Amino acid sequence: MTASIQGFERSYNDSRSALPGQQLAWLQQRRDQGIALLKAQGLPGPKTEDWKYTPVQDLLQQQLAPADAAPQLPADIFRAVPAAHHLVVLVNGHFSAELSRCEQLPAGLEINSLAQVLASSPQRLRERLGSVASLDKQPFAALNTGFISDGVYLSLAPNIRIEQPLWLLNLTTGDGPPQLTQPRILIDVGKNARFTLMEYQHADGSGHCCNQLSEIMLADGAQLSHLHLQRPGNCRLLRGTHVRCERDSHYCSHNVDLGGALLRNDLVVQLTGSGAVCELNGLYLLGSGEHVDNHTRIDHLAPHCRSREYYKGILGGKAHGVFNGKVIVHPGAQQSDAQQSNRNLLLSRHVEIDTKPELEIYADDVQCSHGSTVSELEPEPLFYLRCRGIGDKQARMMLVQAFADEMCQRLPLGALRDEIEHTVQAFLQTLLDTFELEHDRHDHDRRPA
Amino acid sequence: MLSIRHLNVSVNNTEILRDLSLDVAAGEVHAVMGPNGSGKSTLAGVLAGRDGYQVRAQAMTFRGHDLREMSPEERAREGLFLAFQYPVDIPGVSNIQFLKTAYNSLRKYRGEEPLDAIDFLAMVKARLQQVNMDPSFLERSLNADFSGGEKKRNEILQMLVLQPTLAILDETDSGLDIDALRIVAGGINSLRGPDRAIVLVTHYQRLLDYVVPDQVHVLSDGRIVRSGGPELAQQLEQQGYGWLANDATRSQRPAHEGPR
Repeated sequence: MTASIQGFERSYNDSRSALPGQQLAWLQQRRDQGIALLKAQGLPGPKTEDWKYTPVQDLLQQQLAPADAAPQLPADIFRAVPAAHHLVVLVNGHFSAELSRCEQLPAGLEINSLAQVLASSPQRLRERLGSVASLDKQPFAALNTGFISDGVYLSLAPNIRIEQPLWLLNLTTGDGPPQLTQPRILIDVGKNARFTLMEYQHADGSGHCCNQLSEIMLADGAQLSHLHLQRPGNCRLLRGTHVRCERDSHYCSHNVDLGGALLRNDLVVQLTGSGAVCELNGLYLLGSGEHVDNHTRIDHLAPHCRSREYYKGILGGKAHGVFNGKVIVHPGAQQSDAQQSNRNLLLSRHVEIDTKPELEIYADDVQCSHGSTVSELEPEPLFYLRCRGIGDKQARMMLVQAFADEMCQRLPLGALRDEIEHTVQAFLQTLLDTFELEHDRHDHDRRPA
Repeated sequence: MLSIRHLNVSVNNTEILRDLSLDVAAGEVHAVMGPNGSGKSTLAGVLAGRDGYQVRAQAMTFRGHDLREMSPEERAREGLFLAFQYPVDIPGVSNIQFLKTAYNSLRKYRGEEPLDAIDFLAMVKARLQQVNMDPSFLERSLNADFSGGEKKRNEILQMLVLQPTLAILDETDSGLDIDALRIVAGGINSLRGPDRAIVLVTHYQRLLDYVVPDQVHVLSDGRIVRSGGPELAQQLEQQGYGWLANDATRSQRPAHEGPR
């Protein structure tokens, strides 16, 4: 299909009657609505405010094939997942029963392919699917909704606590022409239930586009620690994550972005119940030619809610980073407590960073703060380290790591943290090595002939 | 060990040090004293290789190497150590990680194997006792949330771990209470030896009660205006720096300028 409104619409009309659960009127209605909203708002262009720093024109001018159902899988991809941990694997948007490890799940935890639930017990989804994500000003969420077909439905019964992290691995892969994959994820955490989700996005091949939409529901008192690590490589990853937090629930996100040709995260959190808390931590590391855009939005809709947001970025070469963090305190959300900060470390002069914290307050008894900084490595700490015999390159690495370390320190202790720290460190090393090369070449260029 | 001949240093075309010559031999302790703004810290910074200075000198050598051709890390690896007047805090780098990386960088330069974590920790713990610091210091971020006295003691700890050939201490005594001053002085004295030299850059004489120098130089307006034995420090303590001012004005104006 052509990645244009007409292309999507044509493809939708052709496939509508063959999509899973096509007999369900409510579902078809939701899909129709997705396509209608997509048409109404159009695809983002250079003048679309929320997309002005993230050009998707290239993406939208190409032919995208339907998802490859049985691609060759990258070797070594499960290396990081401990054998004892339960694992959900999505391959090009489809739940893979054979790769997933969902046997002997703890009581109260259910994990199923979304397509399967649509076929077997669709009534469970009727009130949930599409209930969290707002499609307004979210054209790609609307697109995903139009083509809802597979993904995962995960639910945790009330009062169940699971200590061991659950892995969700989303693979976008294939040697063929660029394809469009659209996984849909629905997570339903019951009252006072608690668990940790480790989501890992891996893409390889070239030019593929993954448009994922996740909806997360936290009932009263529920807690979710959501770690997500993105590695889109040469692919484009558009990731919408919409979270609804009811009374006294706690959503804690740790978002780690490791480069990518194009990575866009839309993280939208609605604090709908009094006393709900969200913490959004983010770390993005970008090398030359990479583009990562983090758009977050936190809606304080009830009184006594607290939100904390800390995003940090390290950018080298000709990277382009975007951060837009919006916090809206709605009328009546008294005693809201919101803090937001975005800090960026630039390793090269050719980097572009667009950062915009936004605060809208419609209540009069609130505590809110926000801020953003952009800086280079400071000379004084570098000099201090070098004065102790530490080489320039190693000293830079130490300082860059120290900058990232604050985010790693926020990760929950344990094997996941070790794994992420290790991955971040290795990525930074590569980033600095590349930067070093550019630096040398630059010096070389400056030398008189 | 250290030989400076006719050193002139400017910052943004403002001359800070003028025609300064200084020789420090192995086994010696020199004190460089002077009022605020006399150029003491500039001298320390220039020797350690800080950026941002325009340096002219007939010679500036350390153990026979031309310092002007050496990066800060090369100077450190050759055995030069600067204790900072204002140690830099680096959140996210732990003290132990920093010390170990520095220590092993020096070993590598000398062609030695890096010390493993256990041996290194044992060595550092002995040094910690010397400066009366708790081992919990090691896990804390480098100088972050350290009190002024803790930062200064941390500089001495680094010096004791790295065992430099030439230690330059830039106002390490300032802001210390008497107990901390004794600890710092003890650390400095323990480093004294026939193969090492120490340069104490200080505003006050009181450190010199505990670390008795072989020579005292008085820096005023970028020049060494007096050199002498420890008794010169006593004299400064009693009379202040005012009595040197005339000497300084006289010697700072080059002869060819003539009287104003």
